Amino acid sequence: MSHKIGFEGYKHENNVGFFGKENSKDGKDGKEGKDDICPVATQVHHLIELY
Amino acid sequence: MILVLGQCSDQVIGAFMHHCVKHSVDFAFVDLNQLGKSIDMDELYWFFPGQSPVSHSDITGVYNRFLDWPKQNKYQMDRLLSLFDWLDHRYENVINRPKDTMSNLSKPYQLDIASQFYSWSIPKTNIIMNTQVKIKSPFICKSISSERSIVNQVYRQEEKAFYEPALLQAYIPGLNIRVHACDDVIVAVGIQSDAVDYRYSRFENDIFMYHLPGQVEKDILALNRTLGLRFSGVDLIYHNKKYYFLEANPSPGYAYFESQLSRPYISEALLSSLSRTVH
Repeated sequence: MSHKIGFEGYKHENNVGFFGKENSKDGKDGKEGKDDICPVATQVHHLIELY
Repeated sequence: MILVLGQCSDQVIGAFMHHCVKHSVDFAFVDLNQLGKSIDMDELYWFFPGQSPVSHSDITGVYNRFLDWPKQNKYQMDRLLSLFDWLDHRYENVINRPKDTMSNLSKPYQLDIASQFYSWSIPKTNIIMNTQVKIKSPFICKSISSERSIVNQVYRQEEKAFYEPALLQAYIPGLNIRVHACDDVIVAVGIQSDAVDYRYSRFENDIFMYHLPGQVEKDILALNRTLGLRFSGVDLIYHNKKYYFLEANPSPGYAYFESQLSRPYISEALLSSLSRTVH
């Protein structure tokens, strides 16, 4: 008999299935994602042009 | 026995454990949120609830999916630091060792390393901080570090202010390619998506096996060796008959891509690597 220690507990925690909880499609839940970089209240110093 | 380290919210390790079950391979899952609580370790053994102690000498390989620091007290922190010592210095077969994943903390460092290879180009890249930029050609903006940023907006013909450090990169339209490299095995897929950042596409992406030129494959394996990674997920874009390197992820969420393929190629490669004796 093979050992699968902790697997039942994992499945219990993920009772919606392996791929049921994701918001993003690649295995992260997306909570740490940002739509943009968070602005920090500091002064704007320069204006540069990007081509 | 294979040790699987991660957190219950991570479905990637779920896919890997499912693969182990299917092939009757022994494994033990260490829920890092439980380390120092219901799961513990000492110099000789792992201790799991309701199980006989597992000797460190019985561990053939460790799949490390340490992504986030769990909430912890001092004892749990001590256990985590001890675990890191085992992963970095004492277990012989670890994918990946924590110390080897550090390149992901700096995308500019990664890009600098990747620029030493000739089978791909690096998109024009700017690092911006405390600056207002006037953008004239399409650029995307993303985190400069391992912090995940959603890259779904392309900036064109506009002024934009940036405060904390950010990476502005020329937008390259084309085919997204994700390359999973595990030791000497390469599995590449193409991703057709309606979104700039396919991870957050509104619709299902079309994912298919992709055949890379031999030199690109060789360079990816060499890049992994340079970064110290045994397993990585490299993001490329193919545009106008050229490959562009975006980044190398040391903890790739491979299960999503694999679930779209006819075989679990990546789980097979991982399992093979973690089952073998490493000297």
